[in-house]
Amino acid sequence: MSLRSGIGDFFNPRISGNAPPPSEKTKEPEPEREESGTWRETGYSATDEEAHRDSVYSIKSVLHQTLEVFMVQMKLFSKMKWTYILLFTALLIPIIALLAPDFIDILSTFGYSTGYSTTKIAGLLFFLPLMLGLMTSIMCGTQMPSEFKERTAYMNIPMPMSRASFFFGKYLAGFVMCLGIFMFAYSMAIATALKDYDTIFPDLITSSILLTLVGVMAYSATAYCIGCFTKKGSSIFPFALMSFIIPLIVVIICSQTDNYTLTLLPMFLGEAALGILGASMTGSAGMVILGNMDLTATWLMLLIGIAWTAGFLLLGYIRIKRREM
Amino acid sequence: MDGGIAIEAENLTKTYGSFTAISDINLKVRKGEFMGLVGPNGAGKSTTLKAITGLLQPTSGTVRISGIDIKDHRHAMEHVGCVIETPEPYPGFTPAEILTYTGKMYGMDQAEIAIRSRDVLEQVKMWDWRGKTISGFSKGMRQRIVLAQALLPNPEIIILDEPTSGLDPRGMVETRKVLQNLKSKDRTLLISTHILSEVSELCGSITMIRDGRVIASGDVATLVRGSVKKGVTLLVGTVRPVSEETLSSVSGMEGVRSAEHKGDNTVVIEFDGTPDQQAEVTRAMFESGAGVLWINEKGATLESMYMEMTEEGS
Ligand SMILES: Nc1ncnc2c1ncn2[C@@H]1O[C@H](COP(=O)(O)OP(=O)(O)OP(=O)(O)O)[C@@H](O)[C@H]1O
Ligand SMILES: [Mg+2]
Repeated sequence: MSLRSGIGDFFNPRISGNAPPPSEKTKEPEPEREESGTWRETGYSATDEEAHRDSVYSIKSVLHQTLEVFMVQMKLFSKMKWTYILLFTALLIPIIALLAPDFIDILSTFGYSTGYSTTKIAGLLFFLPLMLGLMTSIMCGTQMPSEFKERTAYMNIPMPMSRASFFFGKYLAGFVMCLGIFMFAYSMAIATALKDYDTIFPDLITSSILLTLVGVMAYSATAYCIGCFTKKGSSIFPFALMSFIIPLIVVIICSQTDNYTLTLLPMFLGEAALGILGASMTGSAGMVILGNMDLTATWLMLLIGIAWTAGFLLLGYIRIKRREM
Repeated sequence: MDGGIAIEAENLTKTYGSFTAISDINLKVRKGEFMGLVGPNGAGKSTTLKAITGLLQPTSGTVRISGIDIKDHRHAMEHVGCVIETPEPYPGFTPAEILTYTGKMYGMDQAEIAIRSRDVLEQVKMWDWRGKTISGFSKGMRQRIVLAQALLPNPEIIILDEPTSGLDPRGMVETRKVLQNLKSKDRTLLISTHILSEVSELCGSITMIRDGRVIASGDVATLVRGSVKKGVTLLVGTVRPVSEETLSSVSGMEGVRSAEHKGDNTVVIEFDGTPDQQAEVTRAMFESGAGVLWINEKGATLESMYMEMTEEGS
């Protein structure tokens, strides 16, 4: 027996009105079928017998379930006001460029060259390194603790899925969400810059985007993992740690030892992403050693960022796997 | 009922530091059995249920659900619906969205989800709220949603931790009715509750725990009867007065301490014999020709047994 579908109102009950007429397939004479063509307003046509049959369901693959968690987390983001606030900050980029067309001249006093589209893009993305920490902390830092604080984890975890699905599905959503916002910001900046320049440098922009991508990965994994270890969950702590504490410690160590290897850490991926575009300065704590960074070590930075992400995800996963409720 | 074991917990122990929350709990729930888990606050009911559903890792002991070790959580819980420790649905979601998510997790398709959702939402009386955001719901309403979630995948095994606490009186009765209906479908139920009438109405068997240990376990009726130490009082209401001959012959039966009139049409029998002897007494009353209207037994209730077993220092 299979259930025939109509166009129903169960999934969109608010737009319920008159139920649609029965579709062609369901026209055969079946007296139990409701006149509206759907089984008691569900949007699916079935006989009472079909609807109440004693079916047994089988769970789908781990990947499938992970994607379900991912989708639900995306839906949760879509209901968060922060998502829209952060998207709006990306929208500010063209607005600022429009309101203050000569802002690049101001930046040139800090060493920005004015002749290239890439430096203009870098200038428009001035706060990207800082936003990396802020945005990932807001989106990913409280994801897990709020599951426990609001007791929704008690609804999720007993379901027939592995905790890995729960953990990675949620992380993936946080990562994709942040990445989406940053890519939106990039496209805004590139579009704005293209208005004034004919030449863009695809290689540099690709490298910059790659660095940002891995940066989002590493920052969100860090914030997410820290969240797994905290009870209350705050976005301020991971933000402070990633955007100020770690960069400042690195800056101090580097300037003391005159060895800048530590700037390969993912907490400088934002600076590198702008530095590669020709930025001489960024709106972040790490900017003071931007000039000392080895911007040719892109691949090494990317690799370290990926390893960092994997490490933090593993740490967080072990925590959630062992977590007692 | 094929007599298979639905839920099996062996030597479950959970310690928190030096504190032992549960110790050596053994629990077997057969397929089709409805078991009540009762005990005072802090006895370890929730801890037991959490260990059974894999929410926490027992310090020692094993749990199998339908024969599958709970360490394989996905497969062990595949046909289990549960409500443990007041879970909450996502506040920004609607009941329809929450049930859709749950259904997908259990592998149901869209049509099945829509139809079964209608069924369970109607059972918990929340169908009209399906499109409203849960954040505006009261505690009891959210609890109904969570119960609907547990029932959605048509689970073979249902595990509930105090499902009716927080519900209004009608909600309690309705929930009980919903659970009662599962009996005809040969489902298995393990339910922890403080409401003893819920156990006596729903459950065939009971496990009583106290201070983290099982203090009694088995068939409700047998346990209740076995706990009777002081005897019971039988009140028998009849259409016509019971004759003196009947009364004196009943008085002489084994286990009967006394049998007296109380008013014209009621007889009071003090009894402290075996169940078989008690059956003889009731039969004698039925055969007395006075026309038995009703028989009321006092002194052998789940409540009296509970009180006795959980008494301080006993
Ligand atoms: N995470 C924990 N850490 C320390 N002790 C705990 C923890 N969880 C439970 N306990 C202790 O374990 C004991 C059993 O708790 P549990 O919640 O199982 O009781 P319960 O029988 O469900 O009680 P109630 O009827 O109040 O729900 C309690 O004494 C409690 O203090
Ligand atoms: Mg409890």
